[in-house]
Amino acid sequence: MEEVKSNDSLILYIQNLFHDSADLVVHEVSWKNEISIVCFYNTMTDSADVNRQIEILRQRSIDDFPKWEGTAASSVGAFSESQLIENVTHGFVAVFFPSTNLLMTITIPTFEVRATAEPDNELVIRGSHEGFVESIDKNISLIRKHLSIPDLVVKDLRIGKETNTKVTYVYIESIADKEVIDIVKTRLENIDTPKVYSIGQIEDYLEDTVWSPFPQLLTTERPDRVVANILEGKVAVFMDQSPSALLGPVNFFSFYQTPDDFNGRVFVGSFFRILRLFSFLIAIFLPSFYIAVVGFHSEILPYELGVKVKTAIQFIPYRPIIEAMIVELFIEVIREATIRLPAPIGPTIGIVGGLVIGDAIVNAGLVSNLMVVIVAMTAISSFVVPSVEMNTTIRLIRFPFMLAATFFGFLGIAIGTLILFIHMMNRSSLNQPYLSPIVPFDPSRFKEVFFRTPYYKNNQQQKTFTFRAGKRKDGEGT
Amino acid sequence: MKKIALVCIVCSFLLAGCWDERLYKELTIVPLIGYDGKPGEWMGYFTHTSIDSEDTVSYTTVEGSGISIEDARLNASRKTSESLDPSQILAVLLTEEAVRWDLVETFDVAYRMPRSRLSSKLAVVEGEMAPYMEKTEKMGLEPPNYYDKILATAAYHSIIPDVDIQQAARYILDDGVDLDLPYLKISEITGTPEVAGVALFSGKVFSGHVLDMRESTIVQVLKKKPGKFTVFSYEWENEGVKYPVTVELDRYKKQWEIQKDKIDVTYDVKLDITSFPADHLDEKKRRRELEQFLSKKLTQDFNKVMGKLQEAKSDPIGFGRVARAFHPELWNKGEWPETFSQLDIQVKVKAVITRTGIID
Amino acid sequence: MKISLSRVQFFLLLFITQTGSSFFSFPSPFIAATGRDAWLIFIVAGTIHYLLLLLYEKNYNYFSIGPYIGWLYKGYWLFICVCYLAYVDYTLAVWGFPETPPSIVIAVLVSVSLYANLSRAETVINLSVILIPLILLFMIFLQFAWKEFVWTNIFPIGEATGKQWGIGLLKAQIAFIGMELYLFFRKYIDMTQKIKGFPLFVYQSVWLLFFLISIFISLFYYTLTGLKMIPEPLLYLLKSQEVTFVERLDLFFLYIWTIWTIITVTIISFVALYVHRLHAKENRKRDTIIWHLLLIVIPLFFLTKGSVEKLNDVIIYVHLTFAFIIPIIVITVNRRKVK
Repeated sequence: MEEVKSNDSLILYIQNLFHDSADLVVHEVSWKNEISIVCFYNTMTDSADVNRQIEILRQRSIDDFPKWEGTAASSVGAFSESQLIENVTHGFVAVFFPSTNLLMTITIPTFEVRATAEPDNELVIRGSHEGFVESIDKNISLIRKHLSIPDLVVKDLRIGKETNTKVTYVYIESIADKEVIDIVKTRLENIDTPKVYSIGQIEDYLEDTVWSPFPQLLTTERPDRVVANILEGKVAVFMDQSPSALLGPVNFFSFYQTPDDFNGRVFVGSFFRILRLFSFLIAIFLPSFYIAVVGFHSEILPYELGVKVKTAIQFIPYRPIIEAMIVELFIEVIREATIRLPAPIGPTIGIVGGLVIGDAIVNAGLVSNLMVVIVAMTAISSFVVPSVEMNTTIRLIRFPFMLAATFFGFLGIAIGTLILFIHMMNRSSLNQPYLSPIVPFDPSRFKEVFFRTPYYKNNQQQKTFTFRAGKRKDGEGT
Repeated sequence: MKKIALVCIVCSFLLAGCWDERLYKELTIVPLIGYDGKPGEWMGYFTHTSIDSEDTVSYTTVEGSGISIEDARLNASRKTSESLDPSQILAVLLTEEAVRWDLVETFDVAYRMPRSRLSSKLAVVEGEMAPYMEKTEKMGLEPPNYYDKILATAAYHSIIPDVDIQQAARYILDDGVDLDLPYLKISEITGTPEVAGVALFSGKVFSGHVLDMRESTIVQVLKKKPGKFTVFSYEWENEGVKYPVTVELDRYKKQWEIQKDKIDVTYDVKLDITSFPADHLDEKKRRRELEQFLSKKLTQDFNKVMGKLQEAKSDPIGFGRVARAFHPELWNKGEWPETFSQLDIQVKVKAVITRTGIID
Repeated sequence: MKISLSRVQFFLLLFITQTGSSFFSFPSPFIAATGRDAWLIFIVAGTIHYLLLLLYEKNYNYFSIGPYIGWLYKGYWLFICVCYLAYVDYTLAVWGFPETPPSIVIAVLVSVSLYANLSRAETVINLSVILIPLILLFMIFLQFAWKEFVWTNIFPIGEATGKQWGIGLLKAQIAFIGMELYLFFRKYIDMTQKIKGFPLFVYQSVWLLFFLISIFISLFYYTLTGLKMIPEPLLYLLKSQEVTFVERLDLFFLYIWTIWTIITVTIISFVALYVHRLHAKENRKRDTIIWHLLLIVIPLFFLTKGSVEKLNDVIIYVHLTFAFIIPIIVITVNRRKVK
């Protein structure tokens, strides 16, 4: 910056830099023996706060404090245009001293932040009712509140040339796996896209395989869930302006565990954990089982049940798969519609869709009432999983199973199960086995999957696919 | 392009269905079958369901004839709108004529084809088959359910063995034991089929001998495969007055002593008194008398039944199994039914009263 | 590719391969050949199995093979896979899929193995985990027949003639098939875990118990004449069981057994391809696909009752060559070399 420029032209220059934005404030402020230019967005920073800060600083300079520029809210550095732009766009106040060519930054951003209400899609009965909000600082503070330890490390970086979005990853130094942190770091740094506006985009970059129906990172809006997971050695990734955190590396079974498990009694927690895993099986297999029975293996029905099934389906014009597809797709449509509908109408449409149309469709003879029962049970079972992503996944993968059952009956289901199993074994989350403790096979850890064990031990995710190479030694996780 | 081709192929499957698909709505449930005839000339009666409208089920019987029972089924299938599916048969009835031939050969199709149901109940009927397939007023239920229920109830009361097609084959193929099948006849009073006892088999075929309900109950006890509820009733005489006494079998032990040419059989039975108007069971003497009386009566009856079994050359109790396993000299004498019929078998029953009910 | 196994993984792998296809088909011909004393003969055969395992354990370090023997083994494994696939397809055709073209059924079965073998090695090694609950379920449901067992069926003891003993010991080899994998995988086990002694004995006992149970159940449930008519006695036993909630338990277990066989084929294919890669390092994907194409095509020639039976007879002698003779020769030669 050349000194010949007058302050007025300087102001004009800065205004040009920000394309004359209406919310930009650029004006002169005089100090003890010099004049500076203050620059900030008044939509991101409260002008009265700025005045107060400047007043404090001015007082310090009048009192001749050594290093008067440095306070808890301000710092000083050499001026550069890019630094100025960065400071202002982040909502900081930039104070430029043309005479000494220094740039003082005052960090007093104020954003509108929603209250930390409980997230709607992850309700718990007991336990904390806090949820993340759209501010990264607030979110980190929620975690810090839970964990008052110096080991909690927060690292940020900015990605996306055009959006310049702040992304933060959080982990506990002593517990987390170095290898995992490196992977997260490199993958985040390698994100090479101009625009980042949703955490889903980051998820795609962080996942090992995008071409899989299974989510490989756990998304949550609950601070307690994040805390529980980073205590197990996981890494949480936050993005500014997103209330969701991504947790990894996770295994398949973590999607079936909720923070509520540990709020309840041992038996209760274990019972519901097993129930959830059981409902996974129902959600995937029930419609295909029905199709296989009605289409191939009717001999497995006992006589009394057989007569009932036969009366139900005798006058249905369609093949079982078509019948199933009609109801399945119909349920999916109702579900999709109720999400979009405003809250007061949603339940009404749900009832109209579910009860009225469901009943009418049976009376019209398009599908049998048995099919409706089965699809309804399947739908309910699929909603048991405490994770939205996994829920959509299991609703999706039952369709291939229905097709397999149409072609080969039980054999199709058996083959499908094997392929699904192989697919899941091939998956990994941040290079850690997805189906641990089944792969690598470690029977001693099975109980943690199926039961809510009484002691909350911090178990690290299995490190590698090869047995033992990275198995946690006892006591290491403290 | 490849993906589109793949999707097209998958969709075409949806329209066409698969090679081995057997849609349930295109099959007819056959819950009751009756067979009459002999090898080469089988006559089958198939009671099948037909669903007329949304929720009414009715039962009709079609007849078919052929050189085997499978042929008879196919013959009958042509007379119905859908194919007769043998996978949900509740009961199979056979005439006395039909069981004079090796059952395992007759039912070859049932054992050979994977779709057939092996746990269907088997029973032999007296006389012609046709009247058994008709619904009578007194039945209350449809014939298939009726036979299923009366056979189950009779087995529960130890009157008949609980035998299905698979077990029948096991008994027939086992040289050491003979089959006894439930025997049904049409009651003279009500005109409704009812359980009358068991038909005794000798070797692989029906011996022509039939036991009545009382005797067949004893056979089930002798086998040590009683149902849940086994009852005996006798008239007990005391000082010139006759009192009925009904006892229920509680637990019992059997002891077989097989020797070279005779078998001593002892049954230690524990009985519960369910009806005894003479009362005074709290007296030790009274109980002792009653026990002696029951022991005597039961021993008599058991021996009588044993005599009938020997006469029929039928060993449903399975002495042959033990003889084959542990007494080769006896087993190797000749054909077991012959050997069995000539053995000197003495049955001894020792009755002990354990419970007397809630009054003395 | 480097693999490392834990003790449990190793024994599970071995167990699944050994029981794989043979579990259902084994009891009937074995008991038909030996009569009532089948269980006694099998216990003796089990002792031979144990001795062989001990021999393997002692000498596995000397078992290193060159490309020629490698090719022999690859041929052997191809043969085993073909036998298993032909048998499973024949059984499936009889029990449930008479109309479906065999090529399609086999292609569907083999596609699973292809997918697993194109994945990482750990997938194949751990694939058998899915069978643990299924096998337990299977054993539980077999006990439903408990009350119909006839204990006297195994008496009198000791009737078997010398000839029956001879044939019996030979037929018992069907239960041994797959044990040669011991030699191939043993060296990858984690060094800190003990195999010698007790763990090996536990494995041997589990294996012996498993087959003995199947023999005992067949003997108790069927008469000798009945058993001769039924090629898959355990499946037939499940078919005749009546449980309240569902008829035809056998159907479920038929498909469980199918999964079992597929996994066995997958594991054997994995070993074959692994041995192949020791010598031919390139074109991993191409070789895997060629191998599986062979698996689809060859079984199609052996789908009649006659050829399935013939394969089951021949397999014993082929197995003897590859589990006894060749390992012993290789080990002796290598021991000499070392000295």
